[in-house]
Amino acid sequence: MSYNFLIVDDSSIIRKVIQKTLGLAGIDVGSIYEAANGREGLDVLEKEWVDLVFLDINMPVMNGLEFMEHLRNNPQTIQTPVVVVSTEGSRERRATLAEKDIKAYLRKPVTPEEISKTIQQILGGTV
Amino acid sequence: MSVQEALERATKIALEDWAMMISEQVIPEQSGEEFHPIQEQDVLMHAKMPYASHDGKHGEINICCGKGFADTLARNLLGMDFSDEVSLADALDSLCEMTNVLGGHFATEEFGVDTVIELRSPEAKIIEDQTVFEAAQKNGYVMMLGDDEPALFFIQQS
Repeated sequence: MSYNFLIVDDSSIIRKVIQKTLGLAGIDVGSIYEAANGREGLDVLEKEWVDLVFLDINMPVMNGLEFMEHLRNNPQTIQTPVVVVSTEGSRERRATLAEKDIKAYLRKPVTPEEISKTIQQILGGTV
Repeated sequence: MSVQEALERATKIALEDWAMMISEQVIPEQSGEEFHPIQEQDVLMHAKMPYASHDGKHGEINICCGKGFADTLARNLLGMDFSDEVSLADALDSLCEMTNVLGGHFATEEFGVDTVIELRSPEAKIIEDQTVFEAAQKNGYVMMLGDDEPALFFIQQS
């Protein structure tokens, strides 16, 4: 079974790094969609089925917190798993993210092993 | 912890843990020639990112380096070979992301985990003037070699 991923990050480098990591992790990858901000991410989710979203927080146009608000208010995406990959270190910001039902928080720098382990935990060890 | 110590710790994390570079701090031998290893680079790049807290702390994270440092950074992040050509866009984007990582860790080291620091979007560009070195001199800086390529890191607090 292959999985579709959406990477929402304004850095094209980070999108490429996560893509590369998914390839190296031995995960059966179907499609990988990219978005440079939350608005673009929501546009992708309107058209495509995604099994897991990688999300940055600080982005122009629509940031990660606003994206989560929209995601959780839409019945079609209310249960879509989200992994936040960010440099944010504050306790308050992490608590805010936890309230929005994110599945995991990975603080940069993040290793391919961490990403791989996180995906396996969320997708039920079937990857 | 002083700003200088916080900057040094955050720089080490950004270079070694994130960029997978072997790092070494450069201690200038002579005053007035501190920045020569970077100034003599053919192409100079400057990345900066403003930050602000809800209780009025604000400033700017800065990185200045030659294209060699930015290319090496991009190659490390993307798993490219040493001989692979790095596009200017990838070099500048890598530098922006390093500024973001540096800023996040500097904020934690300097202000702690109980302060929310808003990090704005980083920007990077090629520069031709030398004013960035005056700002580094005025504010205090850390100069490092990352995989033998020099780079300058400093914070402008306002």
